[in-house]
Amino acid sequence: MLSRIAALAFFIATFGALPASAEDVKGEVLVVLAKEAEGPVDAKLKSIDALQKPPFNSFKTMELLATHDVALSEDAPATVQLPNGRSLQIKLVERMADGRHKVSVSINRPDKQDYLPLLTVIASGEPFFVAGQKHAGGTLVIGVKIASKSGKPSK
Amino acid sequence: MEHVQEDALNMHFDGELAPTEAASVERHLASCGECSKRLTSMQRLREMILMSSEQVASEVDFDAMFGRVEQGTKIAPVPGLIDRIGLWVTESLQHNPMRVWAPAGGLALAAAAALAFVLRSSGAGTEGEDEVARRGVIAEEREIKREKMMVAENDPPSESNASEVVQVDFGSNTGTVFEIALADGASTPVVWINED
Repeated sequence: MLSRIAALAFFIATFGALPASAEDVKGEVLVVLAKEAEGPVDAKLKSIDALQKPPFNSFKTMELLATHDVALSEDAPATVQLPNGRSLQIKLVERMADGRHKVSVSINRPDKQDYLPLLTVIASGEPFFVAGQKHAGGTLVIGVKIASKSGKPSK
Repeated sequence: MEHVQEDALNMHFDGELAPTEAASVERHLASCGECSKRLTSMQRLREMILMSSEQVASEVDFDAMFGRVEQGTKIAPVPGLIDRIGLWVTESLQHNPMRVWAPAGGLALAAAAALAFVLRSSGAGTEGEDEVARRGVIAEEREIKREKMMVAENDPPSESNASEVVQVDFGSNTGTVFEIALADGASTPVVWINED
């Protein structure tokens, strides 16, 4: 009897959890070039609440250079090429019980590990930002949105 | 017999005569009763003065007197710098106006020269220098804003609604991590790399 229960528990643990862990977590990476000079702000960025607040509201020009949809899993990092030659890598670290996701992020040049080697973030569905890289007379603002399990809409 | 002059006797009494003169006065006093009486009177007067001074001094409570002086020193208000300057200006204007107008004119000229130098320096800078300076100011303002934001956000939103940085390694760079509070009680982290 005990062996049957153990076998059933093993079956549920193995095959019941398999579909959830195999499902990739969807994310989106926004690459924005921000400048302090007066100029246009991309319409898509106006709906992002955080970009309207300090310190980002000191940028009077915001150009959305690229949008990348990424699929995150524990197996391999998703890679996004940045316009300054560096690459952004995101990897899913943990699916948390409260619906959030823990991800690790790094930004480096090819074959280098000296820029932003490691950033671990628990993402709730709102975009988090990595900013400060100089590019084309402005500052790169990278927004990373990771969909939350609770289905909270991302802005 | 010629008596000793009053001034010479006083000086002898005080020990101020030259040795030869003092010896001459002593020889006269030895043979002149009148001059000896005058000298004796001087000595008695001195003794009376000394005795009187000691008696008065013994009757004075110096501890209490010094205490009162000390108390008065503490209580007495010390005029401030502005009051002292005002008093000096007022008195100087009444008695010697040039003492006021000369330094004032000098100060005005120095201030005008300094202002002209500053205006000339700022006008002579190149556009590149202006841009560097402007960026420096903006960077400082942004740093202050970030610090204020970190201080202001003491009430973190509920855990399931917040994103948070768990670990960050800036590698060879420096950076700052802060949060932006959002409208619905959520927050979002910002990792700012100081690339300069």
